[in-house]
Amino acid sequence: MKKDNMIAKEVEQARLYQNRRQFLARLSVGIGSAALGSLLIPDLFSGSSTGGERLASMLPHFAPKAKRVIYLFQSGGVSQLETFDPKPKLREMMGQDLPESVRGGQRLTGMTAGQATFPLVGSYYDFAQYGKSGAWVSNVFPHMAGVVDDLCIIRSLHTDAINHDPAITFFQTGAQQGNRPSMGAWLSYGLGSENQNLPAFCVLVSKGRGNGQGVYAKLWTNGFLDSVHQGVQFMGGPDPVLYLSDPAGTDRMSRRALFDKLAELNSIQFDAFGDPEITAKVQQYEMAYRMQTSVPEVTDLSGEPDHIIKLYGPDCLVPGTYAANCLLARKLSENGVRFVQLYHQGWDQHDSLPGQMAMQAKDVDQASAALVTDLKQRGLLDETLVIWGGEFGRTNYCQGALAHNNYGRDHHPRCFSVWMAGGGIKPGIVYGETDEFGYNIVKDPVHVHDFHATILHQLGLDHEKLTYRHLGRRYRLTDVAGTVVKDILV
Amino acid sequence: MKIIHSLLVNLLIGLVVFILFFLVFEHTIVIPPVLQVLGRAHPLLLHFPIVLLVLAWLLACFGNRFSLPPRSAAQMVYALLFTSAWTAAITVVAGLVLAQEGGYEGSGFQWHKWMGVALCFFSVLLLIYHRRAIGVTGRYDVVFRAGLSVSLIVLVVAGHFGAALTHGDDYLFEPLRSSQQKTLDVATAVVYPDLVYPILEAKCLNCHSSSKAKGGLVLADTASLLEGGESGPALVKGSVAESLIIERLLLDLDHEHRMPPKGKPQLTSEELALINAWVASGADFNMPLAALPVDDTIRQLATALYPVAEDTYDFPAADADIVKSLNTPYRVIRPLAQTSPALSVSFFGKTFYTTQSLQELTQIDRQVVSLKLSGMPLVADDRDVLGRFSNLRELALNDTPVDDTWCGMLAKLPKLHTLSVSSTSLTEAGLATLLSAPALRTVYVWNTGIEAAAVERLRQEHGHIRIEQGYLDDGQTVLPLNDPIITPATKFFQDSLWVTLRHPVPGTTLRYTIDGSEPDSVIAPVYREPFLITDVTSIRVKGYKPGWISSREAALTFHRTSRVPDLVELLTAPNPQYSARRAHTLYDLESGGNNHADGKWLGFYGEPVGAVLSFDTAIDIRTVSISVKQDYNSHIYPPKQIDLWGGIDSAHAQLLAEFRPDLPAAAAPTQVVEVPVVGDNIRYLRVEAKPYVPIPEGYPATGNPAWIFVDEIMVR
Repeated sequence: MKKDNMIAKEVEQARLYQNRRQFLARLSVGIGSAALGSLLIPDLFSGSSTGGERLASMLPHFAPKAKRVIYLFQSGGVSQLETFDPKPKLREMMGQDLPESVRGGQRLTGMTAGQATFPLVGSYYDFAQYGKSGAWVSNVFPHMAGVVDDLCIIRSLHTDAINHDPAITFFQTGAQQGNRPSMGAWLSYGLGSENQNLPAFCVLVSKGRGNGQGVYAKLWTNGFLDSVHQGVQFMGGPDPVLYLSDPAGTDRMSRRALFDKLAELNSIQFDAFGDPEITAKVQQYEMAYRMQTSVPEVTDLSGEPDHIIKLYGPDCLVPGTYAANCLLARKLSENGVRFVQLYHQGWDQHDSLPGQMAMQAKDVDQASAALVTDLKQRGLLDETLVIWGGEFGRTNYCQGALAHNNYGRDHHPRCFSVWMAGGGIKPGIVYGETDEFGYNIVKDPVHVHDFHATILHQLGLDHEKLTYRHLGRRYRLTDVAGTVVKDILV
Repeated sequence: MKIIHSLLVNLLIGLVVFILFFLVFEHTIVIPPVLQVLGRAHPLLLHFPIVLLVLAWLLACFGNRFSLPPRSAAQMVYALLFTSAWTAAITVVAGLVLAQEGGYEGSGFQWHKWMGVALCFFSVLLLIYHRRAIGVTGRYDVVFRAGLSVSLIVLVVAGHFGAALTHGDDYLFEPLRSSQQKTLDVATAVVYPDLVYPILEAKCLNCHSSSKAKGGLVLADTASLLEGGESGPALVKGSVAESLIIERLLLDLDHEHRMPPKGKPQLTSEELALINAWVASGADFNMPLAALPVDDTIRQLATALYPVAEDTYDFPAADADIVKSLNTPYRVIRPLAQTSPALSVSFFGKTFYTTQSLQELTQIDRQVVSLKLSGMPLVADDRDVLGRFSNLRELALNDTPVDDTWCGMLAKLPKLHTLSVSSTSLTEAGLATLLSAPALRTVYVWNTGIEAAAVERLRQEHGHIRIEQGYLDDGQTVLPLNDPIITPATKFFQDSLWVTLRHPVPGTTLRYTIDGSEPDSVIAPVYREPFLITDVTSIRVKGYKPGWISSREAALTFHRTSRVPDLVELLTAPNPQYSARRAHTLYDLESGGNNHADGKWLGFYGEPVGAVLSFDTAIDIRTVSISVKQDYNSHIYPPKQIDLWGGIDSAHAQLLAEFRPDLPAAAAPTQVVEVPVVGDNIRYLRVEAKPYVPIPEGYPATGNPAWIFVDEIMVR
């Protein structure tokens, strides 16, 4: 009896000691009034509004037009001058130096800063008008030209960064330094996943054939938000999500029993410490268990009929290609995944631009147009926002040796083109204008922050209200800027 | 004083007679421009009789409170009344002159005119009465006071109608009404009454209404609009250049014919563009907005000008507990927005769907506005349950067993405006039934087997409904198949290997050869099941499918090793960047790919490759095969010479072979160099491969030392 008491007392002491340790750890944030506060309200210093991981109400602020997003990110910097922004003046002035008045003191990258001259170079590809809207598209994207009446081409996008890493981080997270949550994580935090059996944020990466730059896991990170909002990368191959399938020798029944027992143990822990990360962990196990059935069902491409394969191109059944990722993106989005992010690398054409663009276009053109058509014919385009674009554009002057059929272009942040389709965006229009040199914006500039604000708006979120308190201030995707571009909204 | 007084009285009488004369002979009088200035002074002059009459009324009705001597008060009232009558007469004359300018018609004008004239005569009558009855005593009797009050009322009425002529009929109460902004209901709006007319009403009708028609132009109704005014018809349907209304709107601000004139509220650029677009499109008075395509100019301007009416829901929110209990991972229920009573329901996981899942939802059937049942295995019972969702706006039934028998129920849903039935077994008859749904706006019928011609016909009949058919495979696009896949991808095996050939596109016929000949679609055997190979085999495969161009060839050569060495030691160190799994790489039966940096190749630079293979039990060797990489542009060459020493152990090793492989001009990415050798009872085998130092003339990167990349050494 006495021994029991002693043991009980020790256990109690150990528990108190643990609690004291937790308390002191939290105390590092503030001394004094911290004491009573943190004992009464365990979450006081964890920096979040409720329980640590989710907003009190994961609903849009107003009725949304779009429910889901598919972002086809073209990594490397697509040249707008060879795709969506025709500049005949550059062909006229081929070889002449870029006038200082046009350049206006724009900083150059280290790659061309050493160049003595900046010879202008016109597009190798010809442009023509397509569709009822008469939008100009080059002949390097024949399929996208065919669906131009569903696209809103924005020519006046501009960014602050000039190199790949800060620029792509800026597009994904709203800041050039990479420690903030990415767009998909914000949406997962703000709206959650439509389908509880799939992650809210999925990432698909494909390599291109041109000069590529890396994409890193920090681009789909959850930043300071809870780790449940991180993007889940789907790999090409038999096992799309790593570590999801049961290890050899176990089956679903034993897995279920394992999770049940784990949940029991975790709930004991939670009673003792009240750490919200514990419940988040339990929820993630449960979702992983449900994903074991839902992921194979969604990623099974073998049942796709022939005309779908023809629409996307036969590459769509080869896992790991951009076309396969587009088809998979449609299936994921159809099944309720809130944000599907594709990356296609290889657009960084510092040299051999004409040849490499043709190769890249072969990968990308048919599948991107097919995705828009496929969503439209299933009645999903009105509620799915599809975005296509890179992190910056390319310069109108040539980098390196200039020949009319072989040249390169350097990075250009001051103007570039992206297109959006569906999700309440006006179809069949071209927004924004650049000058005749394709260097500066003359009408309706859209900054990356404005771009983010508009996307959030279409999903029913006020970009100024979706915030998270961290390190003493409220953060949001658009940081301290951004206005919704109302002119492109239906 | 008396002389002036009687003079003024006479003049007043003269003015009254003149007014009467004017009123009788109005239509024959022509006013010269000099006198028109007097007419223009009417808005100035009218202020005098108003103030004077009000003062007279105040004094007469409440004068006894001021304790003035009665006679003085009476004299003051008389004086005020006199000047009031005089100025009223002049005002009326000026008003009549102004009216002669034209452009004033309508009941409002008539009221103003006759009330004004009545006021003038009444003032004169009161004056006479005052003179006769009150003058000396200073006592104001009821008759006089009543008379004054009546004239005040006439004054207010005349003044009100006068102001209405200048500022518009509802000028007084306009601020109260302009707070409600008109919203646009895209579904029911008609272009002219809801978009164009409000602009005319706000900016033009002040001067161009039926009661006041400047230039003879009335813009209040469609007939007058087409008829026009003095300068001609206001618009010519379809022609912007010939339409006077557009011309006047676009004139320079200082131009005299500019409309609206300088100083009046101007049209915004969107309003201008809207009228322009409407006239250019034919100025149709009955065109509904929904009939125009979404990217039409008028439609886009409409949404720019007015906020689109939000769908208002007239049902109460559902009980939160019921919603919570019905919410499962496979049936997700969420409100549309934080404050909205409308619910959207999505079903996931077809294996978990039962009729009961839909049945349970009927507890909130009034609130469900959007329902996603795509991919679910629906049955006939679900049809009746679905009919109970009376407030449904959007319904997705893609890829379900829905067929024509459902269309009757679907057509009865009163609020349904978007329906997707792609990939179902719907036919033309079913679609025709669907289109009779009262609120339907958009239908998606891709992959239903309905003919394109039938859809086009239905589109013509129901112009206001958008029918999307999507991508139709017309058989015109013929694409090449992609390459077949040979598994396993590794080229080396020990005794035997099962080879599987696959193609991503289902239904493809694979024809292959194992003798190194090129496969074709006639002679080569068709692949049906995995087959076994036991020796070096070259497999070439091609895929064929009707409706597709045949694929390119996929080829792979498999190499066999009869014995895997028990130990391999490297005598020379590989380059640290390409050290793979070190010695293990050479006997792990894993082949490297086309990229020498993929971690499966051992790279040696500047020194020969040296490896020792040890076998625990002695073997007889006839061939040693070394798999090397070739990429001349990257300085990777096959070895110049391969020396083999073999024996029972290292002490007794003898030189078995010295082999110089060929160096072709253009090389395949990989090559397996086979060295014929005769060696019996070998337990120790030393392989030495010397690189080209320097690379010989005539080859890329000549003069540099070559790299050797090796990934496997096999013995047979």
